[in-house]
Amino acid sequence: MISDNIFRFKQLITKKNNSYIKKKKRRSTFVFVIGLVFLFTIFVVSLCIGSSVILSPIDVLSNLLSAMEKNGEDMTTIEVAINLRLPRALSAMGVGIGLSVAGVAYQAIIRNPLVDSYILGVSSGAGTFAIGSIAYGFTFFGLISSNSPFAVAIFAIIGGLLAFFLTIILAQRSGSTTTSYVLSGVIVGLVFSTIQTIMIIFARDEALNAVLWLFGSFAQVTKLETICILIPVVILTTVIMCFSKELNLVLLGERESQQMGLNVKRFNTVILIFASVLTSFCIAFVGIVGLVGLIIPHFCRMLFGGDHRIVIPASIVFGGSLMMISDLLTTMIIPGLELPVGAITILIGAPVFACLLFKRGKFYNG
Amino acid sequence: MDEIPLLEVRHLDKSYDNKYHANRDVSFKLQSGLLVGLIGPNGCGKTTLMRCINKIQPITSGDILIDGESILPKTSAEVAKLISNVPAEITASFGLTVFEIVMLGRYPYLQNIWWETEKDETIVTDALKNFNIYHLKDRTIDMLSSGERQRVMIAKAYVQNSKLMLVDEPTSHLDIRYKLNIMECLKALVEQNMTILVAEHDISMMARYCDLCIIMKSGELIAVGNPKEVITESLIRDVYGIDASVSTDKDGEIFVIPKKVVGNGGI
Repeated sequence: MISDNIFRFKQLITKKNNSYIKKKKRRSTFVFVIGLVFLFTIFVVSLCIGSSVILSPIDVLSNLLSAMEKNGEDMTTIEVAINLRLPRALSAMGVGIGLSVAGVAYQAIIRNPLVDSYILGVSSGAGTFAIGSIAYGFTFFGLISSNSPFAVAIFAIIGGLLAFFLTIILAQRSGSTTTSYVLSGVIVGLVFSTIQTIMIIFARDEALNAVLWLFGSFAQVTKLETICILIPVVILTTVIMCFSKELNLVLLGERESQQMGLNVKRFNTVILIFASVLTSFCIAFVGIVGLVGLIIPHFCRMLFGGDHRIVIPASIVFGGSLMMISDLLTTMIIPGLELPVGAITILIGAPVFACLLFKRGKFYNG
Repeated sequence: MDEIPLLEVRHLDKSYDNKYHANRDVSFKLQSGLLVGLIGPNGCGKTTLMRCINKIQPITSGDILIDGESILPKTSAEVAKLISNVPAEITASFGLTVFEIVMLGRYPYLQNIWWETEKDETIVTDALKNFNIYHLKDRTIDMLSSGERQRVMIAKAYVQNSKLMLVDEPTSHLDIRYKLNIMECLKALVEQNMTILVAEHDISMMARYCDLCIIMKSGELIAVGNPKEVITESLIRDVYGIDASVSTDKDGEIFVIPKKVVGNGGI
């Protein structure tokens, strides 16, 4: 009788431990919770550190809500500092999340580990149009006032999406294989970046501003712009995340996933559009921040495996964290001088990535 | 004979956009529980026929029926529950493990937005054990041999729980031992009343394992029947344009030895 119960108990325990899905659920919750704690810690740290005063985390946490409520009037020094740093930290987090999740989606749909918004031409398109606006006051034939604070952002979004659609049309006309996507993206990107270079050469006075935009910076981001970044990031990231299962399925190839009951053509087009809108919004307000969309997805895949139900949550927390850390470092490396954030992401991202590639690079020989 | 066939193909015609006529007036019926070999030279329309049957390619005219019901008005999600497919090779796995890939076979049945259910897991675990790949469940595809990969893809199609399984050249990269291993695998599935249509180049092996074989040439059906009766020297000369000797060994199994090319073949 007792041994019977012990046996049943043992069975219960082993069954629980062996359940693959439960194990995976636990693992993904664990990764996400640890990541969130990490993300929040960095968020608080980036509110603590700044050029004026260094605050303690306790100061930050106790004044965070009151600083957000008040709008300019009778604020304490702490609240002023928080108020100045909050948009910067939040927009960095948002852009990090957006670019990483868009990168995950691009790589899965095109089934190529090399792909990100650079390769598909989106960044070059956005950059070209933004520089047209910064350096030449381009107004799209008078449709958009060049004095509008959103002019550059709107141009960047238009440019990014234009480049994206050119790439997609070219790729789908040439067989919509992985190679045709990459080749089309490279060609479209090359054309745009050439136009960009020519514009910078002739811009003279505005050339420095244009080049700075190309490397990205969170220094000038306003509250309103932060909201304009966060809303699309939250919506589109959630939508893309809801399709994690389908993103797993398309890894098997177009025919296979269609045979399994997915409308592949429609799914691919919709997700690619979502990812490109997401990318465009992210870089529109802060400029092009390189490599995050390429490195973070790989980083998460190599550490946590290929299942998108873990890769996407992990990319959210680590993408947001990496971008905030990079933004923090922009002011800290050379005191009194602000480096472009795009340069920092590449400088810290590339070595970490190279190390990981060294250890787990065989992963992609499939 | 009045039984409704599991698969019925009626006057199937398929032309591609570039006017290439891949299948001409193909008609046949298959009863359930058979291992059926689809034999013919490269480019004779075997793969196209399979893609038409599982609705990856739209057909030009004709009809395809499963259990007496046409699949043409059905959505691809409905077809996925009736017909499963084992591709000739699998593309980059992007770090998905064997378990995760086999689990993808349950996709047509998933209701939840995020995780599979315990039931799906039981089905997948059983399939992994059945096909003797349970010990590989945490490996990624690139760590497996060709034969193991093929078994993973068959397991993935198996958990799709379909009535008809289409298998495209399952043994093309495999050594003799693995070839037998895969065919035994398919034979075991047929004994569980699944019907399998397998395209393959090794005629001797098809003759050994198949209950029925369908011979194609230039998009047309040449013969359908028991391989031991259908496969003859004159048929092979006609379809492949080669001289071959067809004999039986001491166990009564057919074997085909290709001798020399005559004419320009049946392509």
